[in-house]
Amino acid sequence: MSRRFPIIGAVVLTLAAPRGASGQTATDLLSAGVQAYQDLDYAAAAAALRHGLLGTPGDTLSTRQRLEALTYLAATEVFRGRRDSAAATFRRLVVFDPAYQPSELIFPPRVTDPFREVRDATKAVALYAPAGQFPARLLASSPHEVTVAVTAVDGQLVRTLYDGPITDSLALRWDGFTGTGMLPEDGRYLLRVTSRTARGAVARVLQAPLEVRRLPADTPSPSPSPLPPAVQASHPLPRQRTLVDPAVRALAGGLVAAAAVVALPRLVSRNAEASGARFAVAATIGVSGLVGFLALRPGRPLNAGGGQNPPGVGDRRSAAAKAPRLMIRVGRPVVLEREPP
Amino acid sequence: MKTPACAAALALAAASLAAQTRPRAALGAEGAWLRLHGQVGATRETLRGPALAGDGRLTFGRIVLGAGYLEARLEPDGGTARPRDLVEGRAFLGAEPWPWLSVTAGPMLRAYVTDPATERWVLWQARARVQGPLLRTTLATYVELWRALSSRVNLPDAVDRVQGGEAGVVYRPPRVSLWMRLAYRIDDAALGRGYRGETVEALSLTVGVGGR
Repeated sequence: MSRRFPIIGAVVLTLAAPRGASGQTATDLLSAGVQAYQDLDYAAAAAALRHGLLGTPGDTLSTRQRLEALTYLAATEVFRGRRDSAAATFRRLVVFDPAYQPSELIFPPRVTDPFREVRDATKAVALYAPAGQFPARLLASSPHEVTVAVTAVDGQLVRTLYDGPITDSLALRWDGFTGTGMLPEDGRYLLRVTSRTARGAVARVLQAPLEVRRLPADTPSPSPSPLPPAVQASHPLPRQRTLVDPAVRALAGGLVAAAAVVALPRLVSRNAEASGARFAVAATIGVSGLVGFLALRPGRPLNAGGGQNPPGVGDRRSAAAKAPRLMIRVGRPVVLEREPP
Repeated sequence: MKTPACAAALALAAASLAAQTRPRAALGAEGAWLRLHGQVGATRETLRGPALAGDGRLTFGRIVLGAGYLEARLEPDGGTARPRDLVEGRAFLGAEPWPWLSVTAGPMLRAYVTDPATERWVLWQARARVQGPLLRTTLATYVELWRALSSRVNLPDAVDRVQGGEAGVVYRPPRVSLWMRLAYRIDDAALGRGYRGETVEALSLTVGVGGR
């Protein structure tokens, strides 16, 4: 008998929704949804949270509230046994803010574990540009390949800023030159960040408008914007990303594994006349760790756009201008494409 | 005693299979160079030879299961030892409690086939594997150790222990689902309080697909 109450509650809430929408704000619906979740009334919680997320013109949730609503909605779906719906909601959450993760103090592992699986499988980035200016920072949901390019409004490539893997974050800088080493015209451009799956397919494209304006030579340089913090208080990065520097981890991992290969015969066998072939494997692992360290070490320039330019670009660059003085403003990014769920 | 443990493991696996919707599969084909050191009393022999192997692995969330097979032809490295064929097969079921650790257990059958006789081993192994990335998703390394929880062999000597280890590096080129693995493996069996021993070393190169 008691099982019927959540269903009846959901039906009543759904039927009352058109009236409720006019009387309750999105924030009220979020509060009601959270309260229903805490009261274990999951059907009512799902209905309220969905309505809160829909909002109405002029009444939508803030970014922080939206994250909260999506998290509670996904948790609700987990406890209702609707795993596909929970996964879809987690995916929305990851795409909305790839750096976000539910609080492990509030949500149990039954919620945070599937979230982590979805986050690892979802390839998405968020663009953070403080005060709407370059340099900016990309934050990734999980390691994957990205291409960052500046294009004209009609899609024509102006400059590839970066093409390679992203682990958790990537600093984006643009020296202001096009791919052919020329200065761009003042005007509107697009910053396109293409995220790819492990198989190379486009998972999604994040696109943000860029306003580029050349500054007169005698104008004082605009004060450089500091890079946005890697970790924001409201957007905590997953714990495993901040424990050890990836470069140090790569070097240490490589050295430990190489040492393990050398030591394995002594560890495993008392009287083994071990072959020298293991040293080849140990050397390969050690070199791999060193390569990882060099590729990930702190201070490595991340704007690898130079590698995308044809030969001679540097010469033309120095002839054109030594240091272009540009004001680059970044607009609100949107996600253009999404991988199929 | 084994039956309840197997039933529990199967129940765990079934629950996980039902709960997960996106299994990941990986298949690998391995070429290896093997070296077998045999010792009976004061007599020692060494045999070498190429091996071909294959393995498959299915991951359902945190549950992993898989199987592997190996065949090798070992020729004596001098001395009077006879050539041997080595055949191994194993199956395993386990868990990945964290992305960097997997723990598996399962049976392993091993046979050394010579002209007059076949030496047969039946082992129940437990394995622990620690893995970590070296360069983003492209390069990773791992170290795996195993030990036989129980063993049976058709030799007169009692088995002291059977244990081994493997370490290697895995290369996954970006944007393709292929991977390559270079590994060193050693497996040591001691019998009759050190009177008899068999140590197999392998340097292997595996090419595989899937697993992401």
